[in-house]
Parts: sequence; C-alpha cells; structure tokens
Amino acid sequence: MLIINCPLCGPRDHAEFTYVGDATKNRPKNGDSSNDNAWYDFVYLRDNPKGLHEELWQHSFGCRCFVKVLRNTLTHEIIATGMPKDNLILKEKGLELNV
Amino acid sequence: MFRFQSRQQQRLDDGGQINRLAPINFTFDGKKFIGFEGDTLASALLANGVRLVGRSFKYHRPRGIYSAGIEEPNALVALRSGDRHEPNTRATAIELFPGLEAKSQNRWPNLLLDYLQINNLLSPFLSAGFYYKTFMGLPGWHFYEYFIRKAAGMGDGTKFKDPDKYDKKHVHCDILIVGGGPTGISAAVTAGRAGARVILVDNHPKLGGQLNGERYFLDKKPAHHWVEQCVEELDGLENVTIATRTSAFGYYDSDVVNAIESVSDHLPEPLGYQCRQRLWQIRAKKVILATGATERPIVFSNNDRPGIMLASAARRYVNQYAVKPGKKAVIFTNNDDGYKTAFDLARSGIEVVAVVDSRKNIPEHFEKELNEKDIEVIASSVVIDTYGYFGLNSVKIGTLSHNGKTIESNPYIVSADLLAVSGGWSPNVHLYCHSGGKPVYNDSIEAFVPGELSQNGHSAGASRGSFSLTDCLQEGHNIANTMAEALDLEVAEQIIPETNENTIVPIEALWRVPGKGKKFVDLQDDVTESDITLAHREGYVSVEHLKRYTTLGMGTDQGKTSNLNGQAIMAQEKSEPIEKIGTTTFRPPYTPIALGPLAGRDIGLSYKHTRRSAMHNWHKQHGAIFVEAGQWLRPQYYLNEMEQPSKENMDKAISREVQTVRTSVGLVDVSTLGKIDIQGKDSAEFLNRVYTNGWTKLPIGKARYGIMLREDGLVFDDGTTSRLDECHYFMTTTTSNAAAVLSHMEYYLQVQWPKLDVKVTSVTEQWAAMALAGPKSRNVLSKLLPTINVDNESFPFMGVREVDIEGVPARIFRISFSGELSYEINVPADFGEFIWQRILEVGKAYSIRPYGTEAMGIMRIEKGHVAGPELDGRTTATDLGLQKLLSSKKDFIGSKMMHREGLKDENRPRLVGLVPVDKKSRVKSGAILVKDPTLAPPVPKLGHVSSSAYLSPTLGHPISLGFVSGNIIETTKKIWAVSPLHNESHELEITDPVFYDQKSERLHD
Amino acid sequence: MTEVNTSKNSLRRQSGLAHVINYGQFGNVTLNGPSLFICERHPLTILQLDTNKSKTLTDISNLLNVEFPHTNTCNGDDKRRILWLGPNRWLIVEPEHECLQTLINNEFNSSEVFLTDLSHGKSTVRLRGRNARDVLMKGSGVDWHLNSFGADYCAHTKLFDLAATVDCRDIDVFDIYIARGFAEDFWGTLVDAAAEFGYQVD
Repeated sequence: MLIINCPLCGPRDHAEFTYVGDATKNRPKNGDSSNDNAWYDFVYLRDNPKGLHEELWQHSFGCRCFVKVLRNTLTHEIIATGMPKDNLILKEKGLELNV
Repeated sequence: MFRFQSRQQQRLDDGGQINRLAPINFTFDGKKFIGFEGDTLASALLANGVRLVGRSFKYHRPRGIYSAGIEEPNALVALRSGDRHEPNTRATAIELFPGLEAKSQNRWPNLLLDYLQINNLLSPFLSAGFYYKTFMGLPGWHFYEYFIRKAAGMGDGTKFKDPDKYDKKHVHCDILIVGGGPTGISAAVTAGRAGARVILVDNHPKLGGQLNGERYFLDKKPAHHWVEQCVEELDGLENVTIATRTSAFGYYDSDVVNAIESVSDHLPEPLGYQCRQRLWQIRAKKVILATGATERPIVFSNNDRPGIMLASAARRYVNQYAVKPGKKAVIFTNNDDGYKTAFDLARSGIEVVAVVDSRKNIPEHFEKELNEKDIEVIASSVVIDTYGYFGLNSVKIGTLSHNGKTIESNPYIVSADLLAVSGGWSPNVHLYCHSGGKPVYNDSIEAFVPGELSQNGHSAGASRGSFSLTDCLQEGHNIANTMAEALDLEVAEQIIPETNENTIVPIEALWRVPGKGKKFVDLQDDVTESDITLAHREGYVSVEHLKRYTTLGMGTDQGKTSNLNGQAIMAQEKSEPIEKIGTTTFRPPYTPIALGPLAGRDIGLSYKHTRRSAMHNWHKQHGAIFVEAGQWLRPQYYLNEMEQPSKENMDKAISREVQTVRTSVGLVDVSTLGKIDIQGKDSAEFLNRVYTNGWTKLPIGKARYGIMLREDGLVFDDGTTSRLDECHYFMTTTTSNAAAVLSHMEYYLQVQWPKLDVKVTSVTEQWAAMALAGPKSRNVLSKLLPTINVDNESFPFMGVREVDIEGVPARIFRISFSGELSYEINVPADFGEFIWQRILEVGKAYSIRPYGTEAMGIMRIEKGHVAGPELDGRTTATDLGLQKLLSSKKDFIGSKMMHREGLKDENRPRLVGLVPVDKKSRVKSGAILVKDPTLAPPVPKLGHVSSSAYLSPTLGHPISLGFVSGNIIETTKKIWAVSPLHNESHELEITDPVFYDQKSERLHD
Repeated sequence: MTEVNTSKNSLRRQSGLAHVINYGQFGNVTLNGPSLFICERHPLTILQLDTNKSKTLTDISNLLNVEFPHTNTCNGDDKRRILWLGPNRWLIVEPEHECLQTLINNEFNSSEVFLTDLSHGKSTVRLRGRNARDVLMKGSGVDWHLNSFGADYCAHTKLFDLAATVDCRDIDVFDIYIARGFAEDFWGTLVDAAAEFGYQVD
C-alpha cells in the first residue's frame, strides 16, 4: 500500500485515489490544431522512468481534487505531493531525475 | 511400550512460567494428555514424554520437536477438527487450550507404522530433481504425479466453510515497535515516556521475548521482575498500546506494517461476537524492528532424530515451561550459546554428558561453572553421527582436523537422549528486507545483518546482530530517543538495568561436519547437504536457483533455521565468501497467515457492494428478476404471479413487456443512469468542449443528445443534457460510465481549464428516474398532471418541464430510448417508490406494465440506438453513423485526433443491422463476421456482432446490431456470423441499423 | 422509518434505509448496556454550496448564522451544520427545511453561489458511543484518534469500501453520510462491525 498525502485532506491510503496518468504531459492549446506532434506526444507518448516521476492521481473518495505526486518508481517512495499546477521537481531541487 | 500416561513425567517440580494449578486436557493422535496453562502444545507433549510427533516431508523419517518458537521446521500438526480443522500448525507456537485436539501428519496408517518410510530406504535415488528427471519425460506423468504428490507433502485442508469471523483494523502511531523482547520493551518505555504514540506488537501471549527463556538477572533480580515492572508502566500510559498475540508479518511501502492479532486462536472457539483473527494495518511514522534472532543448527549425519533440538530451545523448555526435554544431554556448539544451555539443563537435573565445542579454545569464564557442575568439555570436536530410529539414544563424537574436512582421532559413541545444537544466531532481518533493505554479511557473528536503511524501519538489538542483553536494552532506548527527537518530542531518561551476562567469545563458523549418512540442511523440506552439492555440480549455484532446484527454504518455515546453512555450504563448494553468494529475497508473510483476516468481512455478497434504486423494494415484491449492472441491481424482467423462473417464462415476460410498450404504455426504472448537475457561467462553453455538437444555442427547457470523445478521437460516452436555467444544466450519462464521465469533466475543469467557471456534481442518487414509454404515455402523463397541458405543442419532443406531481417536485424530459413517445420522470429519490406506484395506478386504465432491462434493450436494438456494446472504446462517431453530431465550427475533446487517417478510413467497420436469413437463429453478441464459415483459418474478419435481440416481438424474428467493414457493406448483402467456441455459424442479412420507425414519427407525435 | 412532518408525507416519503433498520439491542450487549447507539437521521435538508466569492461567503454565513469551516472541519450547532467538502465547496445540513434553498437563492445572485440539493441522494447514519471510533477504525485508514480527529472535524474517505463523509459532532458522536443506493449495504456492514461492542438501534 502507498500513503499519498493529499494537499487538502492529509495522508490517505492510495485506495482512496484513482491513478490518472503522467503529470508531465502538457495538453496543446485547444485552438492549436497545427502541431500534430504535440498532440501525439500528449495523447500517446509515455516514458517509463526509473526513479522520480510526476504522476497525477484523483482523490476520488475524498475531496475529489487532482493531486500531483512525485514518486520514485524504483522504491515507491512518495517524495512530494501538490496541486496540479505545482512543479514538485523544482520544489525538491536536491533530487535529480532518473536516479 | 508406547502407551503414554498423562502424568507429565518430564515436568520439573518447580520453576517455569506455567500455572500448575490450571491443568489442561488435550489429545494428540487420539491419546489423552494433561498440560498446564502457559504451555505450548510442544512443551506439553515434551512434558508427557512424547518425542515423536511427525514424519518428514519426503523421506517420512520420524521427527520430533526441534525448536521452541515460530521457526519450527518439524513439529507440524493438524489442529482441531471438522470445520475448524487446520493443517500444518506449529506445535511450538500453539497455546494449549482445554480440549485441544491435534494429529500428526504425513504418515499412514500411523506415526509408528508409516508405510512410506520405504522412501527413506530408497533415498539414495530421491535426490533433488529426482522425480522430474525420472518421470517427466515418460508417458503417463499425470498418472505418476498423483502418487508422487501424495507420498510427499503436508497436512490436508478442510473442505468445510470456515465458521469464524475475521476482522480488520486500521491504526496509526508515531512509533511502531515490532517485538516485545528486551530491546522492544526498552524502546517502548523510552518512547512511551517521551510521549510518542506507541504501538508494541509481539506474537506471544506475553511480553519478554528471549528473557522468558533465559535465567537472566536484571539488577540482581530475575528478569521477569523487570518485564513486569515495564509492562505495568506501559499499561498506565495512554499513548502506548501493547498488542500481544499479534504477529507483524509484512513491512510494506509508506511504512505500513501489517500484523495479525490472534483474537481467539488460543481458545477452543471464539466467544460470543469475537472474531477469530484480526488484521491490523499499522501506519507508522517510525518503526523499530526488535524482532530478535533465530538460532540455527549445524549440519551433520542424522541430525534430524527426535531428541535433537536447538540449544536455545532446550533451554527454553526447562526455563519457561519447566520441562525436561531429555534425561541425558550432549551439547554441540560452535559458540558460547551451548554453554548457557549446558548450565541451565544441569541446574534442572538433566545429566549433561558433554559440551562438544568445535572451537579450540574454551572460554575461560565458563570453567568455574563447568567444574562446579562437573560438565566435560570436548574442544575441537564435533558430533559426527547419531543413533536411535524413533528417538535419539546415542551420539558419535570425534575430533575435527585443522582444515575441518576430516575427523582426526578415533571417534567414540556416548549415550544421550537429548542433543542440543547451536550453530550460531541469525538476526531476523525479514521485515527489514520487506521494507526494501538489503542485508549484509557480518563476519564477527557469521550472519546477515541489516545494511542500509530503506524507509523508516530501524533495526535494534539482536535483529541487527547485537546479541548481548546490555546492548539490546541500550539500543532499544537509544533508537527510541533518536526517533522521539526526530518527532519533535522531549527525549526521555531510562536507567538501563545491570545484567549478569558474560562477555561473548566470538563464534567460529562451522556449517557442516564431514561424514556419511543423511545430513539435513532443511528439515522441513528434507533437503540434505548432498542435494546442495548436487545442485552445485549441476550448475544451480545462484542462491535463487539453489532454492528452486532443491526446495531449500521453501517450506512453511521459509527456511528460518536452514537458509544460511544452505548458502554457506554452497559458498564452501564454490570456494567463495558467503557475502558473495548472497541471500534469497525475503517476502511477506514472515510466518504463515490465514486468508480469513486478509478478506475480513469482504466475503460472499459483501465482497462487492450492491447499489439499489429507490424503487428496488417494489420491484422485489412484484416479480422482478434482477440482473447486475455494474454495482446496481436492476429488474431484468417481471414474472407474473403464477410464473416460475424458466427460460420459456423469461421469453414470455420479455415479449409481453415489449408489446405493452409498443402498443400501449410501460414504465421502466432508469435511476441508474448517471446524472450530473452542471452550473456556472461557463457551462455552455464547457459543454461545447466536452461534447462534439454545439450547445450554445440550446434554449432553456430543452434537452439535446450528445456524444463525447476521448482525446484520441474515439467515442467515450453518450447521453442527453438539458438546460434548466441560463447557467444550469442537467446531464445524463450511461449507467456504466457515470463515474468515469464525472472524473473526466473534473479533470478538465481542475487540470486543463481551471479558469472556466463551472461546477459539476453527481446527482445520480438524488433523483429516482423512470421512463414512461409507449403510445399511451401522454394519456397517463396528462392524468398525472391534470393542470398541465402536455400536448405535442406545449410539451414537444426534447422538451423539459419542472412540475409538481401530487406535491412532489419532478423534472420531466420528453426523450426516448425505446423509440416510442416517452417521458423520463425524475423525482427526489425518497419519493421514487411513491411516484412509481402512482403512475402504475393511473396507468391501469391503459394496461400499463413495468418493464425491465431486457425489453428496454430489445427496443433500443429495434430502434438502432447505440449503447455500451457499441460504445466499446474502439468506435468513432462515423462508425456509429453519428457523424452529423461532429461540429466543424469549434474545437472539442478529440477533435484534433479524430481526423487521423486510420480513423477516417472508408473501410472501417460501420454500424449495421443484421437479420438471420432463416429468421430464427439466435446469434451471439461477440460473434465474428466472415465471408464464408467453411474456409480454413486464418479467415479474414469482416466485423463482429455487438448486440443481439434473440427475439424482437415487434418484428417477429431475432435481430442484431454489428459492425461490418465499409467495403463489404457496399458489395454484399449477406455475411456469416461464426462463434467457433460454441461451434455455431449463421448466415445473416445486412440491413439498416434502424429496424423500427425509421422516420422516427412515433417519438415526435 | 423516521416520522415526517405530515401524515400525508409519511406515506409518500421513504428513506433509503426504510427496509433494513431493525430497532432494539443487538450484538454483545453486556450488563452495562450497549456501548454503541446507531440511528438514521431522516429527513434532512442537505445542500451543497459552491462559491469562490469570499464576500458572498461572509454574507451567507451571516444569513445562516454559521461560519463556513476551513479544510477538513465543520461548524454549526445542534441543528445546522456546515461541512467543508473541497475547495470552495461546502455541505449545509439541517433537519428538513424546505425553504433553505429558496432563502439563499432569494438573497444571492445565481451566478455567485451555486446550490445543489442532495437531500435525497445521501443517507445519514449517526454512530454514537464509546466504541464509535473503534468501528470507524475497522472501515477506514483515516487516523480516527481523538487528537487527530476531534469534535468538528470532518473527513471524506473510503469507509467499508464506500465513499463516505464523516462529521465528528462530538467526541463520541459521528454523522456518516453515504450514497443512498448503498445505504442498505452500508447499514449491514456497520452493524456487523458494531456487533462485538453491543449496539442499540434507535
């Protein structure tokens, strides 16, 4: 089991959350239909990093907020959590990606 | 000679932690015995002189009690009987209770006369991999396998349903302490005094751990005084919870430790409302692993006979249980531990013949006591072999050569009925490993100890290799204070009591003794030294291969006494240091656990929660046959009063319901549809983005059908959304996608478009919904709403009205799934059953009938409406014939990706209607569409059947919806549906997907 | 079934628990009496309020005479409770009061405050007694310890595998809100978990 610290509700079991996906992907602007690659990247391309990874979870049994989770895929350690707009990796400067 | 009397002939007259005033009756293999309160089954059997308790796994060799704890490899018995029968329980861990019933295992017909002991004579052939090597290639392996598996093995499980209840509990703490020995108690006292929220778990009935089995003195008083004093203090602290009989079996991510509390395992059966066991899921900020260490044996010839046991176990039997495990003892050791055993046994009146120490130098500080007790020490020597078939009667002793590979002088035999063996202690690093840690080898104690810290679980005391009592007490205190500091608590004082222990002289590794005969490494799995050397010769040298090839450590004890010996022997064979060989990965559970507490109360119908509509009770009372739709229970169809459930009556009921709706009027419960309330000034803009069609021009009081795409351009869900007010909409979704659509919208509002002012709320449960459908539905509605004009002009198709029905506020939507004139009536759920009944009463004049999901499904297929089977995540709007809903004037979710080449291919399978050429075949949904069913595979797939109505009462023959490749539709009118699994093939005619009322006149009038 | 205002209503209105509640004492009731008391609260007005205008919030709070609570807490008195639900979202609960929605709607602009009536969508169970926290501990991983979850705290969690809102009305009094469709199942699980302590259904 993982315990995810919901920025609003506090630490909760991961069973209260629904995994949404990779939080590092940016949706191309709605009006922007010229950039095929950007859409392809947003919809399909997913890395499978060993080490730190930003993920999006929804606290579906709680406040229903989407929560950004910085997780180490190697150890399952959750290093930080925040709201979708937060950049957790910057916040945890001391840590390098893909450790 | 084997008739045991119940006089406890091996019990000491005094001492021990048993209550001699509380005798307990029990039976073993049907014979009656008496033990005392405080006994384990093992100690009570030993007290009664029972040495032989089981037969070994493979060779059926007689076995006795080997340890005094959960590490027991030998003494596995079947406990209780009937529905509480439990195989493979460890006699050393079972608390004696009145009426306890135990049976030996793996013998036939009985322990003394076990026919399969022939395996022992055949044993030269039965080495690792023997069965597979010999039988696997031959014809008839399946025939042999049955007998082979029967000959080897453990106890049989019960086939009855478990009568007991199991419970779960979620707990939190600042500091979890696993293990209530000296380290754990010391840590608990310090952490408790510091004010931390502490949970101390221990798998025994009382705290003390190793102290209970030793004759230690703390501050010059027997150690139990200190334990009692600490427990009293801890009991008085509100911030400390002590959980005894609670075994921590796994350390998981996020510092979650799971433990099982044996609530009533020590009782004949649970009392009243007690559960049998309870799972504790412990969420700790910090964890102290004070799990102690396990003694391991030495590998020598015939080291498995009843009467041979671990040195510390022999000591525990005399000290804790006041039981003499033998009359005449030999101690065999490579470390100081054997001496402690020798002294404690001698003090209890057991004749200690000799201490055989493989080390050259005898620790000087033992000499005085050795002389006092007249115990002979034979240095640089080893036990070479043992004798006695049903129990030890003598041992052979010899001197070890310098290199340890041969026996030097002439060996000699001494008689003894107890051989206590100590090969050193291995820290219990299991939970540390579960937490993600990698153990490292420590030469000074010849064992693996915790390495770097993973998570927040710190090992202390014997579990990190600190074997002296003072160190244990000190480390417990220190680690607790370090944690208290980290938790911003005041550190606490504790005066560590003075101990009476001797300085420890280092162990000198001795893993195995040269000699012939069976030398068991893993007693539970009957893995011998020669199996390991064979594995080495055959190249299975990695510890992981060694384990799987020989089954070393794969029994219920998970090799607690055998792993390190096996790995050390492999290291010797490879001439490599043990640290290079490494150790296998420890995984939860630490000890065998029952599945009951993991399931808790989530069994039977409680496994999955059931969701009921507000009209559920009415349905139940009126002949509804229910079907599961996700978690919901929905009426599938209704049987008349006299009808019994049968296939014929089901068909009859469904036809009746469809005909009623098509000719008159019916009522169906549609409460399960997802309902989402949408408010906010940007609601219309938001709907424009989530739906493919336009929403800005929808007037207040009107509903519109829409489809949603996923980002990849495929259809996600469909439904109607109504505008209730300027900035207030009411959306419906399919039953199965209700939760997914809500999350989908929340995602865009929170993550992608946080600036949009839109609030979405699920109101599925707020409204009971029912569809009144059929040509007479308007008549019923107008009777229900006498003051409101419901004619076609005033309440047109896709109109929405908020009205009162007999004082109940209702929302009525003129939308149709069945293809008939239809009104979906929503009322607050508490009024659902009342309004449902009122409509049926009012509708009596029109022969109204409730209908279920079957009739509903048939009618939507007749009408060519798409539903779940068509919205399967692989179809585009064009595939479904819904291309006119794709707006080109705006961007919406999926609008970019839906233009990809593959999604615009003309030859993609498109929605069609399918009718069996013989007008009667029932075509299974999921059947594959092919050109010719007689072709040899691979046959090109031209499409599939998505939904099938086995009968269409309206058309008089079965119909289906399906998907057929675009180019096929244009060139042919006939196609075959095949279902090879059912050996079925039917010829179908391809038709328009709308079978009924193609101009949709019926819903518009 | 709980009594409703008028006799006409009681025939018409039915709670989601109407068919499952048995009154009396059950389980391990000792001579000291039951240590848990369970009852349904019905009918209630349950109104979800969304707004991100703090001025509006202050005005509504003056109108209702209850402060809007912060994250994970509740405010109110014996009658009216306001629970924090999520960012800019609250739940107002009180014994059935039909005009509450009208009251707010009349006073405030519909583009500033958004109300959603959930009175029928939720079933409410009150769990009271010295073992109430022990029962909650069986069903959810929230830290129910008094020091972490005292009076006027609320939590939205997975309780016995169902989405639930728990309002700590007092040290040993909890109001549990559950989706109506699951109410019967929830009740069954709750009383099963309570049986070892002995409980009374009022």
